[in-house]
Order: sequence, then C-alpha cells, then structure tokens
Amino acid sequence: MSARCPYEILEVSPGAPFPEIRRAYERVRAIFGPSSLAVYSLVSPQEQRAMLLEIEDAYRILADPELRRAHDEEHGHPPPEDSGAAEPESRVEAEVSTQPRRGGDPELTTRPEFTPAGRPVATEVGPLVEPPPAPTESPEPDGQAEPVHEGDEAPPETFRPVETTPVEPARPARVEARPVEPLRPVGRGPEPPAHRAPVGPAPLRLTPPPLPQAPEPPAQLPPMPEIGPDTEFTGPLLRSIRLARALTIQDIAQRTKISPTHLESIEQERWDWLPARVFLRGFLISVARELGLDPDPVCRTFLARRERAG
Amino acid sequence: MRTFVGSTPTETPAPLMSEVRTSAGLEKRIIAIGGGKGGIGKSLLASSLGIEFGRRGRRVVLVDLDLGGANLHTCLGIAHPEETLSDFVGRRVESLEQLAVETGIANLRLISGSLDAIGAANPLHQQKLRLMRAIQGLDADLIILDLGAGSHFNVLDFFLVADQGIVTLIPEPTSVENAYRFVKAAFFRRLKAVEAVYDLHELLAEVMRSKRPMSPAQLVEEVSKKDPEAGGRLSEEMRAFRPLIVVNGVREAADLSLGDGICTAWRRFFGIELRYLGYVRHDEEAWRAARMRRPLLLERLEQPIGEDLRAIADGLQASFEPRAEEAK
Repeated sequence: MSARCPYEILEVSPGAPFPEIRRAYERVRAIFGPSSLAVYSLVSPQEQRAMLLEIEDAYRILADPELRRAHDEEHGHPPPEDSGAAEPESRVEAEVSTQPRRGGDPELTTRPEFTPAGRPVATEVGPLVEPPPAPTESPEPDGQAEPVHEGDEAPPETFRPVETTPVEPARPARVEARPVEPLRPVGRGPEPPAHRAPVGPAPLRLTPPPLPQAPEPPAQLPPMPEIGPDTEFTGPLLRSIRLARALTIQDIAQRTKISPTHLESIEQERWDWLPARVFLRGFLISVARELGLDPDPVCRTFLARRERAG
Repeated sequence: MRTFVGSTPTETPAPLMSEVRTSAGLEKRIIAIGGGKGGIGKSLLASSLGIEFGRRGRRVVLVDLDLGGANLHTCLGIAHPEETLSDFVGRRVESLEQLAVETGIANLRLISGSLDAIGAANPLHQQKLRLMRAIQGLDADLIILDLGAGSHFNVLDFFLVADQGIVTLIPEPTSVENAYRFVKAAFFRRLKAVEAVYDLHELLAEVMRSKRPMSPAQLVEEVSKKDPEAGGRLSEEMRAFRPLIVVNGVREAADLSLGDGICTAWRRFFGIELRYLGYVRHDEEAWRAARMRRPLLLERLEQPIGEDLRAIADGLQASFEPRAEEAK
C-alpha cells in the first residue's frame, strides 16, 4: 500500500510548492473523511480508513522537507518549486483557498467560483454557512453495513474497490522517523462574519506558536474518555473526545464555522489566544454540540479553568 | 451512439448507429438523465436543458420516460398531451413523430410518457426495443430522455443507449446512496452488453469464478492476463463508461465540493471515471414558478439557478464537440 506515490495519493504534481501540497491534502482528506458524503455507502468503513491512512502517510512524507527530498531523489522527481523548504508555520494562512472548483473536469466547465445568489463569496458567508441545527444528517460511516445492493442486475460481491488493503495496515517505519502534526488546521481565508467582533486580548493571531504535538492517528480510534456529572472539561479532554469521535479540527471548523485557530487554542488551552468570555462561551456551546456533549457543564468547567488561569 | 443491452444475456444488441447527421448538419445526440431516486431534479434538469438548447437553435425533443409518473409537461407549463408513449407501445400510433407535441418554446417538442395501462411502466422487451429504435430515429438534433426513478434494467437500458448519461443527485445520504446504486447497476448492465458484443461471456465468467470480488480495474487486469486482446477491448469499453454528475439543490458551500469528491472517490476505489458536470443551487422561489406552471428556467433565467442550469448546458455542449485527444 505504501508503494503508491504520495504525489499520486494527494493528486498533486511533483515539484508543487508546499501550500499546494497542503491544499491537496485537505481536499482528499475531506473527500475520504469520516463525515464525507462523497463516500457514503460506497465502500466499507475499513476501506475508507485504509484510504485515510494512506493519505495521512503521503502527507507526512510530503510535508516534511527531509522526507520529501529523500523521496524525490529516490524517484527522480524535481525539487519543489519553492526551493524545497516546507515551512507550514511561516506561510500566510490566507493563501489557502478552500473554494472548490466548479467542476471536476476543466474541459467541461470553465465557470468562475461559486458565488451564492450571484454575489461575491466574501459577503455571503452568512446565509450559506449556517449549518442545520441538528447534526443528525451526518452520515456515520462506522455504523454503516457494507453497501447493500438491491439491483436485480449487479451482484454486489463482484464490485469491489481497487485496493485490497489490509484493514489495519502497519505503518511504514519511515513515517515514525520524524512525526509532524498531520492534521494541523489551516486558516480558511477571511473569518466568517460571526467572529468579526474584536477578538479578545490577542489582536495579532496570524500564526499561533508552533505546537510540537504528537500526530493524531485517525486509524485506530482512541477510546472515549469517561464523562460523569463532575467531569472537568479541559482542553485536552475535549481533544480526546474529538479524537474518539474520529473528527478532525477541520471537521469541527467546517460545521461550526469557528476558525481552526480558535478550536486549537481551546484544545491547547492557550488562554491568551482565546477571545473574550462571551465569544468563547458561544464557541464552547457549538463545540460541545458537535461532540455530542451537554454544553452547560462544558462551558461552566472550561470557563472556570480560564478564570483560574487568570 | 452506443450499443445497448437487451433484457437477457442472450438478446442480441441493437445495430450500432454511428455518424448520424441531422438536417442541420449536427451530429444527433441522445442524452439520458437518471439518478435512481425521485425528487432529485431530473425533470427540472431535462426540461431546462431542453429549453436552453432550443434557445441555442438546436431542434430538441424531450422524451418523458418516467413511465409511471410522467410530468415533464407540467415542468414545461403545458397541458397533458392527449397521445402518449402508451399509444405507441400499444400500437395505436405507429410513428413516434406523431406524438411529439409543440411546447410553445422555440425548437422544443415533447413526447409525454404518461402510461395509463397497469404494468405499462415496464414494457415488454420487444416493445422496449421498438421504442428505442424509434427514439433513435426521431428527427431532431438533440433528444433528451427523462428517466424514471429506480435502477430497474428498463431504466438502465435507456440510460445506456444514450450518447451521454447524466446522473443527478442532491447532497443527502439517501440520494447519494441511490445514485451510487444506479451507477453500479448501469456499469454491470454495460458490462453485459460488452460481453455479448465481443463474446466475452465465458472469459468473464471464468475470471469471476476464479477470484474473490474484484474491482472493474482488477477485472480488466485478469482478463488481459488470459486474453490480452479481449482485455484491451474491455478496458476501452470501460473507459467509455463515463456518466456525468450533476449535484442539484446545493445549499451550502460544503456541497460544492461534493461533485469533485464523488468523481475522486469513484476513480480511487473502482477505477471508474465519472465526470462532474456542475451544480444547481437551491432556489427558494422555485415553487412560485411551479405553482404558476411556468418553466422554471424561463422564470428564473437571470437568477443563480438559471445561471447554473445554463452553465451545465455550456458544459454539455463542450462535451459534444469531439476533442483532439479523443480523436487520437
């Protein structure tokens, strides 16, 4: 499985500068992610997870300048156009555009990007982004049985995915050599209007301090932490719950429209980076809902922690 | 035009019709719109494309093949035609041309599919063949087939007889699931046709027996090992299976990446190339046009939904023109 070229897996050309690699990674990760509609009922959860693992591994290699250089030299790829220095932290976050292409086939459509109701994107985030109140529409791939085939024609057992990857494949050793944070969220251009209010004590929040974190393994789901009536919801606990639900920061950001930076700051308890109490409270309520938690205790205990931290 | 498949493996496929030129000098095109589920905008797309290509000067015939619940005439704002496909199937009318009524829209005629007879939603095989030949023989530049819901082989056969199949869906799990079921069923239906044409039945049966479930790509590989020539043909035929995807009812920005995601997922998992034709944004005001029984496209031409529908027509038109790379 690891024999496949990481560029191919991320669908990006060799020599692409780092921001392009990251965009490509986010694109395919969203397509094969746990809450993706595009793979709903298409393959088994195991196959989906194997694909995700492959994507993570590919990104780990290409996001790491040394691993990438080694790979390029081994396969005779050209060096990256931006002189090979992949420095995610110093990149301008706004560079990353998440606007999808109009059509997958450029031969077919050459229309400009999506402008809701014919107006520019930036002015129209409001009505578009409002997610449905109840998150019940989200497909839960893990709960799905194998795709059922009722057609009177096609025998289901003959229509299987290309890859016959092992269900829980072993990770290649080289990946462990130098782990990088694979799921580091990326700014999504301009902030949605919901957060345009002055953001607390930190006026400059272009790039948060680098986080030497362990990678988040999407494959083996960590166990769900125990939650009781007296549980104190710390940032790390919220993170554990999120991981146990197989959600990425991006997933939460997409659904709540809270910027990944804020979400990360909550999980890291970077008090200085967090907005004023009233805004933070709103964020916590949304996050708690996404995680299937009762918002009240989450807000109470987390805000109390912040008070104590000063 | 493609060969199409009979209802049973022993049926002989219809004769290939190629290089059909119409009076306007354009190559005659048949488009089929399906998707395996009701309420996903098939008729909206069919009627809108009909109107738009009529506006662009092509002589269009819409054929309402939703035999159980035909209502394209309502989408076009006209009365239910007196004579329908059931008259043709029941041989009360000999020529399909007789059924094509003017719609009051330039260059656009409609053949209604309302069938009153019980069980008529699934015509007998011979009736289906006769209907297909008649559709192929219609005097028009563009023939648009609005298919019924479901993945029954009668629906699939009309989908496969078209030069271009469009699968519509909306960003909801039930719709995505049904669309996938539809595409898979269509693929296997097509495979059967290829089997029949190239006499690959034995070979395929042997390959499928010998190994556990395999993807289409693996299937080609296995066949190629046994018979390189047959493998090459199979691979070619499979490449020709390229349904277009249209995402209807787009409400939020996240829906926009669905079409791209679907194509990527199918390519990755099955080695099948779908093509994303475009999306249609949800229109809150659409019900007004429907209630006034006015064609939505004409009512909302300058609105986002009209813009999207016309963009899809652009994409389709571009796909009509033979590409240099395909000519090679």
